[in-house]
Amino acid sequence: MLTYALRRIVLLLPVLVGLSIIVFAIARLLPGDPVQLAAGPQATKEEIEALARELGLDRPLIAQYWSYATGLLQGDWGQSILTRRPVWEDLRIYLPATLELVFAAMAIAVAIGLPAGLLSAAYANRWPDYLSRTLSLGAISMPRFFLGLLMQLFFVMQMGWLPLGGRFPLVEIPPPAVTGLITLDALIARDGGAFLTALKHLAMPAAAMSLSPLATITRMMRATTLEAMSQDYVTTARALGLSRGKILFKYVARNAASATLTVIGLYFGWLLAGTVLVETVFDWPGVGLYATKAIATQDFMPLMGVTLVIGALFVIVNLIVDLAYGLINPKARYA
Amino acid sequence: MALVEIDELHLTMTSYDGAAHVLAGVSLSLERGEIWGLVGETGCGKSLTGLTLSRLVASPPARYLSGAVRFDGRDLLAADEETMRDLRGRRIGMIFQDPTTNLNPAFRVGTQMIDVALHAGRVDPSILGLAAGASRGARRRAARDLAVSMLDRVGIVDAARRIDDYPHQFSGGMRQRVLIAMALIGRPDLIIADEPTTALDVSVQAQILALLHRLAAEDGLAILLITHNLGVVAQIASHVAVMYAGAVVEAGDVRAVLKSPRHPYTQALIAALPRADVKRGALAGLPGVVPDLLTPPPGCRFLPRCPIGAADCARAAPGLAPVDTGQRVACFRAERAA
Repeated sequence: MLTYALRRIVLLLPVLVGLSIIVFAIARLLPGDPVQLAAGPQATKEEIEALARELGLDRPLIAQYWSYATGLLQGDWGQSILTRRPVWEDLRIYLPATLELVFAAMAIAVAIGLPAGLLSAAYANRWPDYLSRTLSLGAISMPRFFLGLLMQLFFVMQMGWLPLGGRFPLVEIPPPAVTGLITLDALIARDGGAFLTALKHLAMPAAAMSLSPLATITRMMRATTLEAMSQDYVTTARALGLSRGKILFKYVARNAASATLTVIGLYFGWLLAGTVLVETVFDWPGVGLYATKAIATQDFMPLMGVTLVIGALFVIVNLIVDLAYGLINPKARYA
Repeated sequence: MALVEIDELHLTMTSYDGAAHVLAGVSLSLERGEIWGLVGETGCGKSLTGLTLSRLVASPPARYLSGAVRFDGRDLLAADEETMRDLRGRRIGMIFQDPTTNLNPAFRVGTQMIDVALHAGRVDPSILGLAAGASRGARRRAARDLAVSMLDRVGIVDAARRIDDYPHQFSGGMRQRVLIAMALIGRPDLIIADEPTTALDVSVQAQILALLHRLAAEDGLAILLITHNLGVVAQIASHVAVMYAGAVVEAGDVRAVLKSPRHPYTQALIAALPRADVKRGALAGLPGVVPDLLTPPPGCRFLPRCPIGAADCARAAPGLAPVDTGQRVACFRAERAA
């Protein structure tokens, strides 16, 4: 198990190097001149050239990549032309926000999706199944940002229960940053009030975000549960007197969940890269918003940084899923 | 009173094409200590007969038309699910064909065995050797000890350690031993073994059969051994019942039936066995095919393939009746077949 994990981690390196090359190449292939954009419309030719030299953009591509790659390793991820701050500093602020959003969304999706799928299969073609299938079809069909807007109308405008957007009130002092996830930091600081405030801000965007993974996990879990319920070992368990509940919630659930786990991992990466709309609607200061602004201004360094981080997280999450798969499915450990 | 009594059981299975009359008057009775071989070709209803004894046939699509299934005097067709659950794993154990798919791959064999032991212990606390009000922890420990001793009994070496292994760490034959141990854990009176050796190597088959034979003798178990292999029956069964198209056509002492079969189907089945003293290429087959059970032939279902059938065989289905060699045969012209 340990050697397997180590081998997988070593295999991460070439993937990340490849990713950085692709990201770098794409950034350079994009049309438009970032230097001109940064220098402003009034800049003279000399000023533009001076700025290009200052930013190192006048050197050959290979040299530029080399200094970029070595910089990455030293924690120098370049500078945002727009914010004029190191990309690494920006990411340290924006990435935890996005991670918190995605973690919360996946937690909702898994916590509801797995049992819903299990029960849906247990009551196949009866009313609980129809209900869960109808709801998940609706959830898949509903655009996330639109649901976000509807929730804002109801919970904020009508009921006044939740804040409209943002991550934490600007006028209040957030708990000391340890993990960067405000809800978690509040728990670490044992600050119940801050936790509740953060949770209120998190609730709507996370719910909106959880919708499609929730629907997919439910449907996937239903399918894998049905498949597991038709296995011979279920007949044996019934023939030897185990109760339906024990068979379903203990024996079938684990087999079905291990098949659903792959989908959970894929969705995690997909959510990381797809936070833009929800972050925009709820004014959530995450990498989605950061990247969108960078795209609009052709600000390459932040864009490359965001892509690299999300790509790396995607790969790491899938590694974790593979390792977790080994925990659930003993046979996979020796593969 | 016989331990198991199946009396003229009729059952239909409904599919999109209609209701198939898949069990058409199955009669069978088993005493303690008897090993009955239930033989017949695929689709003749032998596995279904085994499953009705545990009431594991989903209904619908199955529908019990008439007849009775009695276990130790109790009418199983009238029993509710709770009663059946108390019998399963406790008084009736089952073993199935493929040991690779009948153990849950995601759980240690011990986990699966302990759950069966706990279930049996809930029905009858004496199985775990405990008084009625024993604590949870005591029951768990007793269940584990019982599981270990069962594994040991079926010939798993180093059972106390192997109990924490996963199914894929056992060979096919060993897995079948684990499943046998699991079926035996509730100290059952009846074991239903559905093709328990079909998926195993020939050498392992013999070991598993010998094991079943020994366990049956030691515990005075009744075993219903479902198989399509007459050789298996000849090896360990004391009695045999031959099924054709949903009905028992011949039943009785294994020697009587195999030595002097009286039903033309049994005769054809035995003649079709490959034998070393018969010339190559001279293997006898039975012409014709099994009837479609959606529209079975009237009267005797074997008539379309029967070498000695006559016109009046189509009037009614023959019932089992004793013949001179001791077994019972469902054939109007059985005496002529001798």
